[in-house]
Amino acid sequence: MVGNDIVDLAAAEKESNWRRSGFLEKIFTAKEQTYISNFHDQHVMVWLLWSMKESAYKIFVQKNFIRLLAPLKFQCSVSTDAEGNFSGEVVLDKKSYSTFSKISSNTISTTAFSHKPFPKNFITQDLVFSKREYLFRKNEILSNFFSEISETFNIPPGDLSIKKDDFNIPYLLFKGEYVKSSISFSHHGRFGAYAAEFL
Amino acid sequence: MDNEEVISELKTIIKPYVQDQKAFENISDSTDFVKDLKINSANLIDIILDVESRFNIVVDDESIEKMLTVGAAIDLIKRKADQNGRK
Repeated sequence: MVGNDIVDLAAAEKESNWRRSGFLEKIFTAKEQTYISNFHDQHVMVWLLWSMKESAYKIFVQKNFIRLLAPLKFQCSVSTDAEGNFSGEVVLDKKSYSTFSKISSNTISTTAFSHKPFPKNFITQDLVFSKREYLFRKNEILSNFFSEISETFNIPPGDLSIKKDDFNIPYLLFKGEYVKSSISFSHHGRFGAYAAEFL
Repeated sequence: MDNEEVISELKTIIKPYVQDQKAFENISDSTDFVKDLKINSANLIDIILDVESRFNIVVDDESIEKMLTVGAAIDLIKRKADQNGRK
């Protein structure tokens, strides 16, 4: 299964003040707070860890059909490779999720998988929007996602649709029938991303 | 503190974070912060911190877990405020 999260770093700076008293303690474990204080760009590390927790949480919901607000329970370990890519593990109740993150000057985009090694048959894509209205972004992501699926499988985009259940979990439908897949969408500020794994 | 007071204070707190104004106009106990009001999940932490300082309560991690709807938040605030009052 797959879960994703994208953070618009400029929007995050404006919308959330992680420097306010008590904020970091509500979200990050002692180990994670050490990552933040030791990293050269603390703003980036805060939102990297957040996006890891958020993307792992999206898998957690798909698996367990439980929604909760428990950022402290999703415990992150981060590592970097020679190219500067970030990968990580998020552990919750002995269950581990693997993540990889792309960091640019504008965004952090994280994709989490419920298993390792990462599956071969997955797609992820980051997008830039011309407007930041919620509905506009949502529709843009969907139309981009549908056109990629449609090209990959050579099917008309009009046959694709998305349905969300009570847990806010999205499902991909082809001609009204569920497609065996796990999909995830995220948008924030000027940016968006989708991820899908075909099971 | 009565129900009306809690609701009106809570609405003042969450208003700046709401991304769906229509859902905010029709707010009720069952209104979901993320699904209905489209509040960015990081801002839920801001809401909790704002609630803590406005109502002078501490929201423990276990109580935070279930704070997904307006109704759940109101219950939590009233419970914690009552505990404060009894101290």
